[in-house]
Amino acid sequence: MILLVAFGIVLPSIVMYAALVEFWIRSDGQPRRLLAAAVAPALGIGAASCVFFILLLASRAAMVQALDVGLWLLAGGWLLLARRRRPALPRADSLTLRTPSEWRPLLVLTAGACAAAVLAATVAAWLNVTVTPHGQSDAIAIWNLRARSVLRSAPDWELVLSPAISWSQPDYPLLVPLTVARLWSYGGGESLLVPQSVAMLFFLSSVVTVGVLVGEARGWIAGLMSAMAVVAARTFVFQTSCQCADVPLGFFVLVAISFAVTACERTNPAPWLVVAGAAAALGAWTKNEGQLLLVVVTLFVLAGFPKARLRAAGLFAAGAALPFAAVGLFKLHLSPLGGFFALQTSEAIAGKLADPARWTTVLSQMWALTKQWGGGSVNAIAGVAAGVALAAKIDRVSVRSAMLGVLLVLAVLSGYTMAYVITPWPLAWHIATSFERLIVQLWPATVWALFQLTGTRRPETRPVFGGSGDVS
Amino acid sequence: MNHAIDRTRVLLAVLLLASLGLRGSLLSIATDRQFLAKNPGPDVISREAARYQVLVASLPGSGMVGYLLEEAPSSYASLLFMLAQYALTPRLVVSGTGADYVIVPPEAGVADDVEHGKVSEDPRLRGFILYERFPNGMRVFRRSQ
Repeated sequence: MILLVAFGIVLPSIVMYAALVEFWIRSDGQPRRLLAAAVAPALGIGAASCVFFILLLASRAAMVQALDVGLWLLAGGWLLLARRRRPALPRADSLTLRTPSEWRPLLVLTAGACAAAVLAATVAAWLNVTVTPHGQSDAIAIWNLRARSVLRSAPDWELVLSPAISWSQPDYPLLVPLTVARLWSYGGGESLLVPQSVAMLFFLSSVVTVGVLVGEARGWIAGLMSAMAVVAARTFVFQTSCQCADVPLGFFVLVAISFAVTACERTNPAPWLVVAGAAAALGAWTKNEGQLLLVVVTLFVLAGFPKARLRAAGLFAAGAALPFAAVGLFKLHLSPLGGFFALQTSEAIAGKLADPARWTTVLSQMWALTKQWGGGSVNAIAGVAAGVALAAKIDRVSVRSAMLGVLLVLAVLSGYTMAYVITPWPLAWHIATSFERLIVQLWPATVWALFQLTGTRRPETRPVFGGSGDVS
Repeated sequence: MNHAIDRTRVLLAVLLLASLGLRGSLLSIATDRQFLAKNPGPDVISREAARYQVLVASLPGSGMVGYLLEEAPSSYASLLFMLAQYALTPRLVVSGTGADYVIVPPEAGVADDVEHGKVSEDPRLRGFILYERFPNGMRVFRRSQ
């Protein structure tokens, strides 16, 4: 059973990896294998949940698994053919990123410290998973409940998304439950190992992706420090064992924001924009908060490429197409109306937005919770900010990337703040029970943005494919 | 000189970040190991959800199923109700007696003096007969025709 579940994870991961490497080679001349390996598993199983959803809607349940395997094998075969048809890559030496020298003893020490911190965090998260194998209350009431319901009911969408169990939030998108249900269908049972492994996969993907993104752009000492910074927040580490959708959404927020910002700095932004679009739309397919991410990153892409707006939007939309289709089908055909707008009138919402007392309550409570966030005796945000301040090495590009990253994170946070102000639920209760998780969603992207201020910028190598490998 | 200062600053940053991460993780590992040593059996959710498994054969395969809660349920009773929904999905387990089948857990406070097939005297179960009684104290009532 474990082998079949592993097959269900590895198959889309390999196809996604191959697609990313091929795409990067063709458009950028560089395979970027390390970055592709970092993002491929989470993007792969995210895309697989979209395919699985569309297959569930379009065909008989008994055929879905065979079709799913067939489609992924077909995609893999097509990529293999595409790889054979393209000319061989230029010599490896012309592909190497120009690396500023890093003091080797410090690099080795940082690598050791990073390995110890990430290993300890992984063991701590996994041990916490064994203490709460079904996840915490939201996993039981929402995410794993829905995964079971999909698998057991064939699925009968009226049952799966029935508003009769209101706390199961039937309007929440389906990336996490469908990923779990898909892997259960591969394994032929409801092993608790599946949702636990999915949670761990998104956790480790976030840590590795931050490290690789920062490492490739700012040097490996900075990259290793940034990976340590992600796991320095206990709240982030322990949300993994919750088995909720916040750590997965955190991964998609990270990829959408970091790839969109990086796209602005590249002479060929195409692959970065496509992946940013895919991640933003997968975020919208993970949680309703992800729809805000999609809007924010779309606006950023439209504003960030004034001379090639249409092309940038087209590339972003191409990446977003599959998950966006899944979100559209779900929201238009299946999901009951829920949340903020269904439970109150537009007059009530306008009244709340104009109420200064609500804004004061929201901002003061958010500030109080931000100060405590991260767990432990030292606030994680302050601790990481101190680490960044110590290691800071500022240049024009680093400041620009960091500012754009932080601005995008703040734009999403502003949307969350507004959502609190108009919430139809008791205000203090709503903030107290959810704010910690909202910061978890933004944490990896925040760490990535802050660590743009450390290390030394590694110049972009271009053009390489068939060229000289000069740095422009 | 500048290199030395830069390296010292980075070294301090590495030590700070490593200590932040390691301290939190190691404390948590120690706490969880202690907890697991003191509680070797299945976790509370697995244990409590298991009590609903025996009901599966006595309930319809899908659709609404009622669940009788105390008048002012404790948070533990609410948790058990949530676990009934989790364990018995895709049945929609809802609070009250609106459905044809109703799960009556021991904590609902219904006297256990009804014979199989007889009508309950509890006013909350008016119109329901005892359909099945289980050794773990769980009962299923069915609306009488």
